[in-house]
Amino acid sequence: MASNKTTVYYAKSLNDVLFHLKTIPQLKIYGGCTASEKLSLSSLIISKINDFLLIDKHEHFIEFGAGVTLSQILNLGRKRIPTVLYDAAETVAYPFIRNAATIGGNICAEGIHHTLYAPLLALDAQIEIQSPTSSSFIPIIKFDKVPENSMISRIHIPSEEWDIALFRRTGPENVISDASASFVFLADTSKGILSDLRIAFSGLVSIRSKELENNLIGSKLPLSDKEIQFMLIEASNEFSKSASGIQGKDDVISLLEAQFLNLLSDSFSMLTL
Amino acid sequence: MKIPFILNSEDIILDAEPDSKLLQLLRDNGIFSVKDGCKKGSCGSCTVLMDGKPVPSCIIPSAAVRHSNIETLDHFMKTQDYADIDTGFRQAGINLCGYCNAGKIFAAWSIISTDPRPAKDSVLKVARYFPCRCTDTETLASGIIMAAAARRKRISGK
Repeated sequence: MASNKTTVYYAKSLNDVLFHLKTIPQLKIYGGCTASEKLSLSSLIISKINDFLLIDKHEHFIEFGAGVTLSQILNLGRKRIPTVLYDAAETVAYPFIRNAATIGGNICAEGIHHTLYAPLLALDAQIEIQSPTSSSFIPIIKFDKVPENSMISRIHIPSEEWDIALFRRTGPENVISDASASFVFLADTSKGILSDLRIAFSGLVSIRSKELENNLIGSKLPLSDKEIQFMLIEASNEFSKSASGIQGKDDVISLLEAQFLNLLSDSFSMLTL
Repeated sequence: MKIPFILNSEDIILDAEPDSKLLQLLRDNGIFSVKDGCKKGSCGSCTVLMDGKPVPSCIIPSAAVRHSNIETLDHFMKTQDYADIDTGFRQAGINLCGYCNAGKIFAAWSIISTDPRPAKDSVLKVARYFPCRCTDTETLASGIIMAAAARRKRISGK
């Protein structure tokens, strides 16, 4: 008979973690340990490994180890990291939980995409997935969940400046529910033209569509009512496409769609000359 | 499982189920300054310092404190850092009820240990997370600012 007793493993280095991933089946990795009511039957705690605690800031990007806590990110200050990431981190849980909760844990939370996902999606972040046999950076838009016997080790975030950078969170404050979602709107303007645009929404439904953004990039500002209406219809179609696989949550899906379209409409109104 | 860690400056090894929470582990070992509150990490009454940072012990699994340095409120209250907070809180007329002490005192500590002159806005941002009948947010914020002043005076005489 299989034992249902929890076994906890510890690692001292990245190599140690990879060794455990190779040798222990169905191992689940924990960083800050703030998300789970119960540990998995085979758990690996990696909270004290320096490889996962790096913060590496360069001119055009910043890299965080997966074990960097949300408080450490906030301690960098709003001016030193993308503002939407800072604003998002500030809304996660409670201050004392943010002392333990990690960026890696926020990204790979199961079920609903948590608060940092939308900012990272909008910023074109990449995450490093490591397994005992391979290591690669993948765009976060292609990340669904951590593959078997693998882990997130680093998060690479471009840190370009945006003329308009807006983060909004919907749903209950400080906790995650089906109604929780994050919205990010980034825009650059140049000589009265919308030169770049990023729109991301994440929660139960996640959206980032280059097609949607490309519809508006190059438009003259301010946007006409017709352009805004067209975009809202396109955005609604995108939302329906993304939500099509979710069963039995029609009420909350309608609520999320209404919030997404409201936030988008408000954001468009910020686009002026 | 055996969990070695430092508890209030003493190396100890405690026996705990890996899934049990640090809150329970501490209370089972006679440390009752750690209060059993919301069990969601929101009320602050179970706060302890883990490696110098305030964390809610009700959500931290016992297994995760291996080789960590844990300090509870009763031990922290013997320090000069606490004396500064106590001075500030008294000056602001704060009289804590007992239930919320750990959250409010460690919130004050996390602010004044990193920022010698905290701005009221940034203090209010943290203080609003610790609602309790005994102290309103504004008064708590004033107490924390006064605690910072007491700490500055002790450390640098300014």
